[in-house]
Amino acid sequence: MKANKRSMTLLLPALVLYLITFTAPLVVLLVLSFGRFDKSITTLGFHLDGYIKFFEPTYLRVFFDTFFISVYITFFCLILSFPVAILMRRVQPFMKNIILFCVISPLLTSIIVRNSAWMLVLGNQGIINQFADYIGLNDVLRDMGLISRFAGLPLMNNVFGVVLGTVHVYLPFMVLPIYASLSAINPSIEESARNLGASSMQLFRNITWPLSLPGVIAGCTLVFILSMGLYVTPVIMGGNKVVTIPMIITGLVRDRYNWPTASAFSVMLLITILFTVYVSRLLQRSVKV
Amino acid sequence: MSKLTFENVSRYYGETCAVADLNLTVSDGEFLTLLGPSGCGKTTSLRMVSGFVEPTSGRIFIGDADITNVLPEKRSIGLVFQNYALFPHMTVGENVTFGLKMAKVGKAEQETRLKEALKLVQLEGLVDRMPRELSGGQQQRVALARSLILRPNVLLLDEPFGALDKQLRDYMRAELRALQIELGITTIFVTHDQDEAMSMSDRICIMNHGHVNQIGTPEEVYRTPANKFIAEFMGQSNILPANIVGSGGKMVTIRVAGATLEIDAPSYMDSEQPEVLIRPERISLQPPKGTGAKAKVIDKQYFGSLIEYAVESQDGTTLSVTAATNNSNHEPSEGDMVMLDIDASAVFVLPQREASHRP
Ligand SMILES: Nc1ncnc2c1ncn2[C@@H]1O[C@H](COP(=O)(O)OP(=O)(O)OP(=O)(O)O)[C@@H](O)[C@H]1O
Ligand SMILES: [Mg+2]
Repeated sequence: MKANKRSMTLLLPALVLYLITFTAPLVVLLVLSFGRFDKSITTLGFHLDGYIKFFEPTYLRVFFDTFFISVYITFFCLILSFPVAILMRRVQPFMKNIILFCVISPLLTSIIVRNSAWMLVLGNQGIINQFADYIGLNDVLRDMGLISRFAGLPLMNNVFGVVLGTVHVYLPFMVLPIYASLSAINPSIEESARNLGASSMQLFRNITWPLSLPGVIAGCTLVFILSMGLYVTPVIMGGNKVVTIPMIITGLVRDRYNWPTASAFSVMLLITILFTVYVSRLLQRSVKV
Repeated sequence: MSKLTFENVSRYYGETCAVADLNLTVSDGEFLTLLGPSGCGKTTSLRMVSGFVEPTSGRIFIGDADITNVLPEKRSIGLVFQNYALFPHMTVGENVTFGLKMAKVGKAEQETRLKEALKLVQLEGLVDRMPRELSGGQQQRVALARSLILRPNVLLLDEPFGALDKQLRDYMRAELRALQIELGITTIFVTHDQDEAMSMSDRICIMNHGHVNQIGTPEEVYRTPANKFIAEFMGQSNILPANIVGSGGKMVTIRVAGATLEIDAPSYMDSEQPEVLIRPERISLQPPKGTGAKAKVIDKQYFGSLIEYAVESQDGTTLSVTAATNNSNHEPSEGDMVMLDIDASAVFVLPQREASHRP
């Protein structure tokens, strides 16, 4: 007990920091979210104005857009990450580290730099469109009326661009948990499945996939939660065509000083995320690994 | 039908030779044990049969069919791992029927064969358990049932009892052997435990540094080891320098540890100073009288059913001697003088070939 108390004391600085930086803003947020914003004046109290606004069709649509963009991002991260994780497990340690570095490298540069780089690739004057112009693909598409006269292939300033830019950044959050799960599978388990007659497909379906589910669930949860907070990428790569809840919240605060509504929206976002975590825990418990 | 043949099979890992030029035929229904110290190539040999390791050269046959290049999942070979390798996310029933499911066998037949298989390994009633809810011995049996339900041509077991405690191991040995005889399935069993090999096998194949040193029945390898390595590996041994002091016809007279013995001359003996093997239980200690070889007891250890002595003969050689503890045996104490009673038939002249031909 004594040792326990002493180690509790060691936790104190972290605890204070946690209280100041996490709990306090959260409390402020909650209090503000029940405030009222009228003629640019914020009054505290117990009002549901912000929450009611959230359920107006315009904002609800933005919420679902954000939700589905997050689902796409999670889905594409998953199907891109799985082969990478499998490869990392198969190759020699040296090769593995190289792949690992490539996967993590997006985290080493600023998100703005990364997304701007994509503009050079995907934009109307980007590499891909220049190439498409060069081989005449764009002219053909213009003649067919599939793309507008002045634009190239619509690779950004739309949901596609946002999803692509985000998948690139969030890939490591999917690859790493899946890789961890995969490398926890004893190779002899897969060997015995093959020994019992499982083809490569059957082996994947019946053994590798179910045994990697903990990592898959963890990765999907992480990427989904991160995507729900998407702000920078849609601003840079969405070209005013993609609006997410965090963009709305920023706008409310920055342009209109409407803290109560912004706080209510934030709380709704928080609830969505908590619900995601809850579902993820239920799923984790249901897989029998 | 399901005999298994290795034909000049070798496997190299870079410069390292794991298995060198293995020629071996396991006949139909035979229980053959691969025995040898760690790293001698036992697992590699098994993995070549199951298809997870490709031989560098040579071919492997089941019956008359060359399976060297057949995919592992198409080989119809049962394989039991030391760590059981059960599927942790499946129940016992799902584990055992896994192979049938992969082969798309009908549900009804799966059920009947599952019942049969579980009965065979005495696991009825545990169908719905998860592997983590089973004891080591039970997991082992699930692994066995999972392989046997597919009625494989050949069963391969890689140190299947390594993770069990001694009592359970003894029990499982007897049970596995009985099952193997009942099913008549061709079996290769891998172990580095010579007791296990002796008690279960029809034949033992002893390997060292990737080379087969001897193949024979347990009695053959124990009584007439092909070299010193095997003599030492198979149980306790006294390997002693002997001098040939006379010969006449088919007999030679040798002096060993102060005793003079007349033994059958082996055809391969070409040295005047051969090494001979005398097992400790073939020497008995008698009260010191008459003209026999004298020795002094320098150590005595009591093991319940037997006693182990270390004795030093008059020419300075140390021998170990084991004696059953029964009333009729003379039981000298430490420091006592004794007479060594060695039966001539107990002396085996070791072939002079080097113990193991290192690559
Ligand atoms: N994948 C591998 N890469 C390189 N060398 C290997 C590999 N597998 C085995 N070896 C080498 O081949 C030799 C034989 O190994 P093997 O696993 O067959 O031994 P074993 O007889 O099963 O030993 P143990 O009783 O310890 O299980 C060893 O020297 C080992 O280091
Ligand atoms: Mg081994």
